[in-house]
Amino acid sequence: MHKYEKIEKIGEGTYGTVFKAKNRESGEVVALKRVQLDDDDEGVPSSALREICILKELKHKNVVRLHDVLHSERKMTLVFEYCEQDLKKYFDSCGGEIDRPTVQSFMYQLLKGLAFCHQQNILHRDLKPQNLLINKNGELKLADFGLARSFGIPVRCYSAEVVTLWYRPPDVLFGAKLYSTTIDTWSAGCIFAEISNAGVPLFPGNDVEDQLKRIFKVLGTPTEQSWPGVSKLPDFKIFPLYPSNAHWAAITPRLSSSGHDLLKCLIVANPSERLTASNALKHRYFDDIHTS
Amino acid sequence: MTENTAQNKVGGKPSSKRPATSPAKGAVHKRSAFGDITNVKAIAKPEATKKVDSKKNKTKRHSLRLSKQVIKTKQDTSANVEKLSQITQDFFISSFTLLIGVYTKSITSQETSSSSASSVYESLPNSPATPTCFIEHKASPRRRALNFTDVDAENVNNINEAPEYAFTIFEYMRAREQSFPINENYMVEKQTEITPEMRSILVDWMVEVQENFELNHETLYLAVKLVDCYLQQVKIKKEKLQLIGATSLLIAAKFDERQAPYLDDFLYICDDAYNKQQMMQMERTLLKTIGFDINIPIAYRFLRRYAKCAKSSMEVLTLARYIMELSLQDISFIGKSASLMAASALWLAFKMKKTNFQWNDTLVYYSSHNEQDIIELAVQLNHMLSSRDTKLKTIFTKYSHSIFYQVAKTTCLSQVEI
Repeated sequence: MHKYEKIEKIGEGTYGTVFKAKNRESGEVVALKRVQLDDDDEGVPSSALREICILKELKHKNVVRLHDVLHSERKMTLVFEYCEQDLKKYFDSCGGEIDRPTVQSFMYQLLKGLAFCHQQNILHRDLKPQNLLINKNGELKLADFGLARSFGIPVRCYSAEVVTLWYRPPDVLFGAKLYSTTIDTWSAGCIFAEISNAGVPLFPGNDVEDQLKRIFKVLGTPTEQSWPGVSKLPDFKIFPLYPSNAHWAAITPRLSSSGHDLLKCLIVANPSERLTASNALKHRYFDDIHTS
Repeated sequence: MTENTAQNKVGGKPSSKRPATSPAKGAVHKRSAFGDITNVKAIAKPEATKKVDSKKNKTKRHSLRLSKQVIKTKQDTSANVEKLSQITQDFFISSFTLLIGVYTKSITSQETSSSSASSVYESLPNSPATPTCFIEHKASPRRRALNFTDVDAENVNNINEAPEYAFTIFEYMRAREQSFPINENYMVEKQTEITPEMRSILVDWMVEVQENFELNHETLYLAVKLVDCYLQQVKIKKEKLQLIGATSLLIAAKFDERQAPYLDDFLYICDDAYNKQQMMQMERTLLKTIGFDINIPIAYRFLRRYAKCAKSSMEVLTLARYIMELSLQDISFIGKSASLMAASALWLAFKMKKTNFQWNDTLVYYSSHNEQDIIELAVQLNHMLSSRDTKLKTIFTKYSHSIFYQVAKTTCLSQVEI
């Protein structure tokens, strides 16, 4: 720990406290995530273990870089590249509006990082603005892999207790344990709408039922016709039959029409009809990024 | 909003753990891996196997003081590796560099596909998932020239098969394999106290733990990899071998299981030969030695994929699993590519089941292994099956069960048949 000089506390991760610090030798500013290890505990917490192992492997400019791990008897310290703020804080400082090119750039980078994870068989499972870091160059990076996991093909049943409520897809809200890469693209869709509205969350539910209600009021309540198998999900409940009312132009007024179309392809209740990250990147919404 | 989301967060902390009593549930068989090798199964097991086990071996003790075996250095090893990497380069490295290149080079190449892709979405407002990705396989021209069936296209509507990513993922895993070389000779070059036999006994015990704790097979395979990665770097005392095996299982379980067993459970199954501090210390040491980079490609995942491409029956797949699990125990396979192991085990399983089977272009395309590369290893695997160490029974017993189609009882092939 003598290698780094703490500057200030910057937050709490899924586990452990995060500090801004400086490398005493090189002067490089880093983020330190400290995990306390208790004697009567289980050794390295599995969330920390997964985050470290996964980030050791994922090296991409849109994924936060893990520089080092300092491991002692009492604590573990993860040394990350430092980013000035997260997307949540960015919203607070943006003054109620984010211009179109920035929205597009953030979304593109989010999907790039995500597609990279998926291509290396990693699910993030906790995408939300707080876990997207933004540095002073406007680069966006996926962070906090405490809930991430490696997946096999075909996928097996994994935990249904993943993803923060507002960003959790309806299948997982219904208790689905069998999910794949589109678990993350739902969250990406929610974040897309939230960025375009400069920080107004798309579905800010209070609990699981309220969350589903808010979703169905926009997309319409799913039926066995629109989503085969939905009623077989572990925690399936019958909801009032809301009609589809997806006026994306009204929900996200600042997005272009191709933006609305991309959003419509991401915010799809049936996970097998939801767009994947690699296909989302090819959407015409990004055409001008591709040509520039 | 921060408070709200924090409240709503369900994951993150290790919530509901296995009940503290978990070891008792199936009467986990505790023993020291090297104290005995009786394999008496206390848990509900098929009656037949129970009898065989308990009567024959109960009193047998396996001596730790095995004479030091000098493993003959195989001259052909390095040649094999070289050959493999050559095929690799020739056959599919182009796809991997492309994969990596996607992130570094200009995006202009995507333009053409993007315009056609978006028109697809336009016409299908609520079903955007008409992936075009796997049709754009970035395989080398030689590979694309094969007469293969697009397995991922057949799964286009099954998101759980990750059809858009599967091809890329397995290319990535095959390339990544090469970052985790295991020195086949570490037992003689690095270790002085432990022997290949002791390692076999350890793996036998690890399989038993996997069964009793109902761990995923991925966990078992990964744990065995961790053991070898560690042992090839660190010289150990034989008393520590079981601790390394147990700790590897603990780490692998934390990485792969929905809910890993308690650390205490692992101490218990070691017959309390070690204490908590020792295991936590070993966990730190092991992770540090391996550099925390533990998502190592394992044969089990390749096998699932290749069996799918071969449209194999559950029975053939299970036989291949048996062959691969036995190979975990055999030191002569530790340096082999996991992908090639999976392909060879599957090939051998098909042959043993006398199916009319061909290692066709589809399998070559998806595995990147030609039949001639496979046969060499399959012959070795067949030899392993026919000369199986009958003292170590866990895997044989496991796969003699009817839920595993009793595949362990399948007749081995003669050299001529193969």
